[in-house]
Amino acid sequence: MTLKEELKQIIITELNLEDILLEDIKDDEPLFGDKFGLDSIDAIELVFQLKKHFGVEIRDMKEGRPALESINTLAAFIEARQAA
Amino acid sequence: MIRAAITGMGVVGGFGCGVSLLKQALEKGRSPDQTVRISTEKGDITAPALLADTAPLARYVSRKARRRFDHYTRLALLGGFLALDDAGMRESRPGRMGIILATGYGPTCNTADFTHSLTSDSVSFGSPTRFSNSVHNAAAAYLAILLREKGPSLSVSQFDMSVAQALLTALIWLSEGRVDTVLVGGVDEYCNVLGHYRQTLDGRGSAGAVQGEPALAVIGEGAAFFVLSKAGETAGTYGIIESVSMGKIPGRLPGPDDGSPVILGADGYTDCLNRYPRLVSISGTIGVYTGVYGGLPVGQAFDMAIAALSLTGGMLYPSVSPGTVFDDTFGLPRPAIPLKPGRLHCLKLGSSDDYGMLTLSVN
Repeated sequence: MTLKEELKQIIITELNLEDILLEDIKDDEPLFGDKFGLDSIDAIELVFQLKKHFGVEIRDMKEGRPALESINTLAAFIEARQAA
Repeated sequence: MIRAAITGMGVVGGFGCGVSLLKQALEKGRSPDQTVRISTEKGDITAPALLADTAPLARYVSRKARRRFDHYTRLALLGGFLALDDAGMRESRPGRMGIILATGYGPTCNTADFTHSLTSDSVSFGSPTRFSNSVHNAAAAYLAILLREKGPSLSVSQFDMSVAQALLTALIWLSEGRVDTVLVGGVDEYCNVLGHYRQTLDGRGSAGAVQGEPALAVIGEGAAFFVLSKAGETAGTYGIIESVSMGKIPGRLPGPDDGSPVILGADGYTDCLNRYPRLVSISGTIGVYTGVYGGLPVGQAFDMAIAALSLTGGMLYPSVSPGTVFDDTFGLPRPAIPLKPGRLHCLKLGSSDDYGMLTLSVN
């Protein structure tokens, strides 16, 4: 499973997105908005899950807002942190 | 004390979802067979269980809204919505409504997961969703939010006595005029931690009725809710709650002296085969139905539902106990027996010689 697929699986499982499949989440589309109904609580949940699964910490909104935009930005954030 | 009319009932458990499936299980004398796997030090074992399916909640709550609800909350919501639906009060309710939720264990699956993650994950904080679901009044609060009710909302946790305490509180609220209606119910869920606990008790002989015998308690979970209003002002579809009494047993509890049938919350835990005959004098016919809904701290809520169905149906259902040893000990009637219009009592003994007794009557 690629990093992006793993991220999608975590989002589906941990945020309880019933009836959503991996292929329903496009790499470049916004995660937060009407399509999946995610909100600020989900953002905090995602911060927790990133730390738990990848050991990567989002410290504040300045880091979090661009990182949590899409699967592409999340994957890039994780790879950058893990490489540092 | 004020009397309360039962105007709606909502039940979900191992027998299925809704009053009609509870009736069906009582008439058949059994709920569908289910089992759970429990991890023990000697390896996995399989135990009989009566677990509840909350899929019908989709009728009442959108996928988006129920996304964050754990199984415990879903049980509570389903029981509550079914009761309000039954009372014709889901969409609109006259006056002010209070919500009281009784539970013995609370959201155990979620809370065990949350505490486990705090102690075992390499993260310095826990899941916010699991945290929010672990707080004491979460399920009752979700009910209030979804129903847009601004009346009092309370969770009661007094283990075996939770249901009697919740009903007593409901009667007080109605008596004070604090609310016009109360949605009150009991909820408990099964989780692996409780399965492990049951096996530990079993190993000590405590979960079985007789020392050294296998556990008689069938694992149970579910929710049973009621809509209550002041009797006299409203006719009770399912009869009237005449009284709720609680206390410590003074040596030996004088049972009801009116000769009316008594439903015992004898669920196979806490040595109940010895304790009920030793502590209580009962002259009327006895019924035990824990074989239909299983062993759980809020079992008395299911007993109350069964009592209400018996009273309004004019017959005491055949007992469905966890084992034939119960039938012999209590002399449980197997065929249904006709009930004279009158009263029916539900008695639950607590784990430390406390008791809760409900008395129901027809209108």
